[in-house]
Amino acid sequence: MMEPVLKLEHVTKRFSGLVAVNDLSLEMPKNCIHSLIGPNGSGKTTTVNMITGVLPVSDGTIFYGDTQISGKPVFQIARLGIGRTFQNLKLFSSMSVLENLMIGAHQMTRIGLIQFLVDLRGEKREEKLLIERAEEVLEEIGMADLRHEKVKNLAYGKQKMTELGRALMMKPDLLILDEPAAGLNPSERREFVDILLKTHEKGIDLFLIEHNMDVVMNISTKITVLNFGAKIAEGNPYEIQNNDEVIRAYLGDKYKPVDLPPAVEG
Amino acid sequence: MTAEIIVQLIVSGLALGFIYALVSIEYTIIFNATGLLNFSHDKLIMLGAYVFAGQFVVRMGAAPAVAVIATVATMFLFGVLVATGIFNPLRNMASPVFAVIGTVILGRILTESARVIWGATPFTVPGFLKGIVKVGNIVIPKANIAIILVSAIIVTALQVFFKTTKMGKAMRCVQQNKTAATLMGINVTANINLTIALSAVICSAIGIMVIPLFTIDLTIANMIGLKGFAAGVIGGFGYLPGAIAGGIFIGILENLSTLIIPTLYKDCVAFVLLIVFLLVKPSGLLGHRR
Amino acid sequence: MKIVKRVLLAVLLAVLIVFPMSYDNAYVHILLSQTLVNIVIVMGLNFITGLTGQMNLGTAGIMALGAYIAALTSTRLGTSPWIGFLLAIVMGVAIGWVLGYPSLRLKGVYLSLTTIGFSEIVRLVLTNWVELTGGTMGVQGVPHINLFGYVLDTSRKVYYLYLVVVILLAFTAWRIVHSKWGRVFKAIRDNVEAVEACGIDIAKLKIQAFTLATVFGCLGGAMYAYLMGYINPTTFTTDLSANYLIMMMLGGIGSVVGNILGATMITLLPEMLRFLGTNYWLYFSIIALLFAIFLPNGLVSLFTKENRLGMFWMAKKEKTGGRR
Repeated sequence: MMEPVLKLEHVTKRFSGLVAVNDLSLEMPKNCIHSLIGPNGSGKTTTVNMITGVLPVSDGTIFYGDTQISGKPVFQIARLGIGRTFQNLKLFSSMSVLENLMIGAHQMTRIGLIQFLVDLRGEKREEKLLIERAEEVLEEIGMADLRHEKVKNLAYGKQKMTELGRALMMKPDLLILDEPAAGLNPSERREFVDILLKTHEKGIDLFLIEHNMDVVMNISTKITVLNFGAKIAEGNPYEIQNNDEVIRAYLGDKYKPVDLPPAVEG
Repeated sequence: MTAEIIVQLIVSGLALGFIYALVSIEYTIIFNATGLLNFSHDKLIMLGAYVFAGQFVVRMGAAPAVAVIATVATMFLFGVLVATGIFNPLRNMASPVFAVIGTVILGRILTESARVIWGATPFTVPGFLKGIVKVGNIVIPKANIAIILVSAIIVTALQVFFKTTKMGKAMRCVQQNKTAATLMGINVTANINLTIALSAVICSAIGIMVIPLFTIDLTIANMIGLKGFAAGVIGGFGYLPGAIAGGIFIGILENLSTLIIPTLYKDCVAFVLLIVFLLVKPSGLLGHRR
Repeated sequence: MKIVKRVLLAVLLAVLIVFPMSYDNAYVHILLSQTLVNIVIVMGLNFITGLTGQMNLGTAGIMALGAYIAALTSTRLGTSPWIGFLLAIVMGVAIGWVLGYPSLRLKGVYLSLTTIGFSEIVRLVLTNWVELTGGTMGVQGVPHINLFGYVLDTSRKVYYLYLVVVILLAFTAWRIVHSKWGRVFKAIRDNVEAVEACGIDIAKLKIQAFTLATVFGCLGGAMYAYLMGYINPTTFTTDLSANYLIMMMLGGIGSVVGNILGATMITLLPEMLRFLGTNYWLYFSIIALLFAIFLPNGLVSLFTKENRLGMFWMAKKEKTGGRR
């Protein structure tokens, strides 16, 4: 087996008494779409927030490749090539789609403030590169015609897409998505998943939290199930659907194996 | 001898401390109810002093007791007016920057109105709460006693009001969750109007009580207004018991500071403490964090 | 459209150059120069409060430090005002760090209270450290600026120098607002967490925004000192900081043109309202309040592409119909 992209070792998160994530260990292999599922309050978003550095871990360590990322500030973790989207949209609502995307690649620009004040041209060249990159991404997410629209005037689905676009702008190697399909209607969801799959084909690993089992079971190569902050099962979609504990805690009868053909091999 | 000086400093610091405590209560209840920091609060205190002294006592020759009641009533009505006309629209603004600026401009209007109505010349109310009481070798001005008594009464009354009356409980609901309060059938707007009126009444009480301490002019409350902000943070922002603790803490500490630093820099104490607390212990003295 | 804009700018510039020449009144010249000083300070405030959304109520303290370092070195050490300007900039960078650091840990109300505290401490120290600052007497006899041997001894001459300075600074400010910095500052105002998730070091940017604000502020302070020839701590109160906020908002938050409009309006309008008699400040404040409530995006929002003049009514309709 290859070196894992993301490795959590005995990670625990306590909020004064409440244990949100309890001794979670997890490995995400390369070239993988890894889903984290579980009932509400099972610690999924907390886990993502610990990976991205928003919340400090109480115990344990998180590795990205060989680098230990637990304990690093959010922006440094992001700079290693981890992009993310949020459960509740976090966009720059007063700005246009294009500008939102350009912020996504802001940290790749090199010109400093002093140099900018003296050099009247340099920054313009950088801006041009940024815009070109943004146009590419806009094309990928199919929003080229909306580039100058203010984000706050867009439909929810398009806003989600903008957030994805912003994360893609920084050319991440790993993309963490917190409930990408939530709040989308079926056609928007299909479109979103298509784009995710295309992104994955380009070599970006995906780590997602998702409640929509159609999405999870269809695209995941590996699934981890959390309940009360602890891992209760792990495996490929077929294994998960057949796991009694998962059915009891989360999936319910609907995904009983008899109803479904064996899913894609992991 | 030194002990006596210290006791003397503490006693006079206590009175000012209670004033700071009231100031921080007065803006904290507005902050809790609306999420707005009322930067015009010092001007409301100034207005209270002017309505009492300028209007009722000097112009109309009312007895102080009558004037106090009249001032409180006037300021209550004024509070409702300001709340309806200014605070409620500002509360719905897109950015808190707008709301801050709105209250700042309100303060400017109050100052200018006072200048137009009562003139810019500083004045005093002769004989109002003047005189001293001697306990052993310690001299206590009557004004200080009045301040401590009245403040204690106001603080207790507020606690009783918030804890036991239906209206007070409704106000606490509004502070915690406006949407839920609306769903429970509480009229949030009316509630906020009332909170601001209550705050205006406290402002007028402060305004009346500081008259014996300072001359009445348009900037009478600038310093206590700013120190009241400091008191609120030092005690624990947005938390009433913290406001009281912070106020008294500053009042006493800044008086005691004159033992070691030049008296001139006494006024700096509150602000230095403010910044130190914000950076080191933002939850304040009582360790309460919203 | 571009040509129209250029013609308008040229006409404006011509008026700004010709008007003080034709109008021989020292008071008017001081007032116009004062407007230029205010424009500089408001453009600075715009970076931190307007764009980045960090509430700064300490503008008076910043300006005071700039004014005092310039005035004191020029009077006590007898150095050239140009050194004074340079020191004001250095001072600005220093305060940028001092004030920027707390802003990394404090948000909203807490930050505005910190900046008030800073400003009050500055004012109290300037008032009470009599040996150095002259206390409430202030610093008198600040020398005139000497431009390559040509002494700017009237406020009209100072006005022309400041006009050039302000045009340069406004151009710089405009460039920053319309560069990646302006964009990322606005992004911080809109959503800090998202900016961090994009791998951007917020600490560095906030300190940059603060430093821009304080450098402009201190420079404005120094300009004020050399314009007036006399400074006094009673000028630099929290009310003054509030005034700059009002200027920024009335003009239009985040826009350099708005800053210029706002600073000009607030400095000159009270004088124009003088025909209303002694109450003109009252009427002026009421006008300002109406602006704050009904036109929160400032004067420039009247002229933006999407809104035109109809914006005022549209916004109201939306409010009655929509949520919140």
